[in-house]
Amino acid sequence: MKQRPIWNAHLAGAVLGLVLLLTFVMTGHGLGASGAPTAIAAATSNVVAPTATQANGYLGWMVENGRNPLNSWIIWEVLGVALGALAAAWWSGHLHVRIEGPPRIKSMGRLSLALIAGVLSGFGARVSAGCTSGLGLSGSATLATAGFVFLIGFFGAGLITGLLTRRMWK
Amino acid sequence: MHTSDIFIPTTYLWATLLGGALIGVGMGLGGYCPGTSVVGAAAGRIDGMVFFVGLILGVVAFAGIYTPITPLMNAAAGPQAQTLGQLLGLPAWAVLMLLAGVAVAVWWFTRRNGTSAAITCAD
Repeated sequence: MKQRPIWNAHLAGAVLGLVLLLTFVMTGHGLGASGAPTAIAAATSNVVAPTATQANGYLGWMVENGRNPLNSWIIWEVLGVALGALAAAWWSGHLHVRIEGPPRIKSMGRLSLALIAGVLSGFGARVSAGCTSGLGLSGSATLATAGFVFLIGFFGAGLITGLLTRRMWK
Repeated sequence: MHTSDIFIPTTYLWATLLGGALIGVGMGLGGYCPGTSVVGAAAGRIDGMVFFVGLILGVVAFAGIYTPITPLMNAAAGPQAQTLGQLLGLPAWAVLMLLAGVAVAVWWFTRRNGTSAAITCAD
């Protein structure tokens, strides 16, 4: 399929801002992401080890009294994000099943790196009670101090990691 | 709607900073943040799918040690739902002007480093 050029990042950012504004007007909260893997973790853990999950200090309330953590707005929102990404990737000719990552690293290495990075991010998102979407984007859009504190940690560590791993991406 | 209906997160200084830093390291190593890993996965990127599975495992790991680290999570808590304006003692419009100034400064200092058209993320 013919590839269409990707949007100008500033234009895409402005559109994302309008979507975020609309979400605030309609729901009172902004956009999020890390709540979805959290809900999936609680639901899965409750199937595999129900007693331990219900007794857990963090996941317990999400599954108490037979509550289903997957029945939450963020699951639907993230499904919408996935559908939108699928549609955009298909329409623009960028839909490809492949493994991306640092050019110098082969497939298994890239997947290992992705898994390690995902674990760090999933853990981190629970430490800060929100990720780039919930705190960095939606939090700072409300001018919340927490959003900007998050972004200082995010960009600071991202910058250092980027500098340290720069050779890997060449 | 009233502005009091809008959710404003609260700062827990060390937890907010540390969590942000871990997600920054994850982005530097994996090329995704939690939200964009969903986008990458839906566009067929297998590393995006693996990153998302990693997110779930990371949550399980956090839940495993949550009780002992609770004091760190709640340390140095800021006022509930504090905004930058309240922190700095400025009206919201002044904070927005400051942020607009930061945006112009970032544009000025990075204007030579290629344009967004050069970005080929998830191509």
